[in-house]
Amino acid sequence: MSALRFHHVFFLLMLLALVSTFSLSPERSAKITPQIQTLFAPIASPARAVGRMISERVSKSASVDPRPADAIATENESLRVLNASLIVQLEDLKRLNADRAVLGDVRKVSKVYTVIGNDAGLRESLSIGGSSLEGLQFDQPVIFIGGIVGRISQIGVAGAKVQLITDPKSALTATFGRFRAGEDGHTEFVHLKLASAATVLVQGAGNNTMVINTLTLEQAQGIQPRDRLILADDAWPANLQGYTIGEVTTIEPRPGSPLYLKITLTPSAKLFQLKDVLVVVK
Amino acid sequence: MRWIVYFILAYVAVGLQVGLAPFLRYNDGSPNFVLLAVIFIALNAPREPALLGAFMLGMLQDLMTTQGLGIYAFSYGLAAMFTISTQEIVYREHPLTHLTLGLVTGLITAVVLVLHACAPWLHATSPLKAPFISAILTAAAAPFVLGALQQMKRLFAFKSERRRGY
Repeated sequence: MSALRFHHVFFLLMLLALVSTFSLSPERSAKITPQIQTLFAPIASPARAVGRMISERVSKSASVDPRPADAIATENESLRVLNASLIVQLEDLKRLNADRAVLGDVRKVSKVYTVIGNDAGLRESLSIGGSSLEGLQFDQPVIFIGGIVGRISQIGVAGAKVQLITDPKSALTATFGRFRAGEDGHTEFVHLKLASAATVLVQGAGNNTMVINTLTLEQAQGIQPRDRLILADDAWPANLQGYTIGEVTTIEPRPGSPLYLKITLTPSAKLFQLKDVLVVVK
Repeated sequence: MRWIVYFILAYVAVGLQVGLAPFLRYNDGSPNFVLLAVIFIALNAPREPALLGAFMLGMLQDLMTTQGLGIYAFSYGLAAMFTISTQEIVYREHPLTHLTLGLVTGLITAVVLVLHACAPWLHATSPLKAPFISAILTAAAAPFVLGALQQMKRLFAFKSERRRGY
């Protein structure tokens, strides 16, 4: 190829890339991007395993629960009993209302997929080893044992991407709750009522965090660090309502809007470092 | 340039970027292994294969991100153009060269990413600080990664089409 012709071709390629970059939104790009994540699994998966091993050795997570082990064991036992009771009650309710049969342990209607890697750029997404050939579909919810991960945002014959709830493009509505010791000594989960707001809008903020920017000082009274945020969003399936999204880490005045608060939340694990996820298929 | 070796490098670089980079995160930024491969190719290969190789590496990375198609291809095309322009004047084995090129090309990529994130019609909300942190981390990793790659450059059979510096 002569130099002149190559320059033309390269200029055209750069022009196309420039036009694509600044005219196609990420959502439109996603529709025309072939999904080839699984092709990179032979390198990405071992690299991820090495990274996880090093990460676990370097940053041994400190225990966040200051209570003695006996107290935790006692609480676990009481929760098991309570859980068993609720399952029986739920089964009864299912029998009464057959069309709600899917309610219950969402893990039973989920498929496990290995995480191949992360976003190669700076967005918060995971590449998983599933594909449209296995029945995965756009927008299916993705969870892990500690709560909600996100939704499938791109799907193809050789891979799928999950947009994490911590990605700045993610938003969902939720309510606050808190575990506290009941009068009979059992730990119970209570919903926190907010003044003039049934649910709050939670947005991803990157760096494995989410933020709530819409609450005023008055509305957020009573919210404390370590309070839980649970899903309350009609756009998500019924069997995921109440699922944990994250925990409040900081509450501070919103920069530039002193009457509003900036509440920062983090999921119970670093979502971009997950090994496996569950895709809710029903 | 041996294209088969180039494709192996591209495969490994993108694989490391999606697999390892999340564990090297600092403040939402992480070192960019694909950009380091771009610098290596642009530093050693003749102009035309270097530009094409850098652009294709960007395209591959675009396929593995949700940021938007073309953003890395365009950024790496610019980064390669800059790196190629320095081929004659830099000592390509020196760690300081690697550090400087890592930083400058990282900043070129960061500027494109920030412009993309700031374009209101795209609604492409990306963190604005992270690309610059990535540029610094990429620069920090450059002497090690590029130093190792320079030891393997015979495998690529880069032809010297013109007189090279040092």
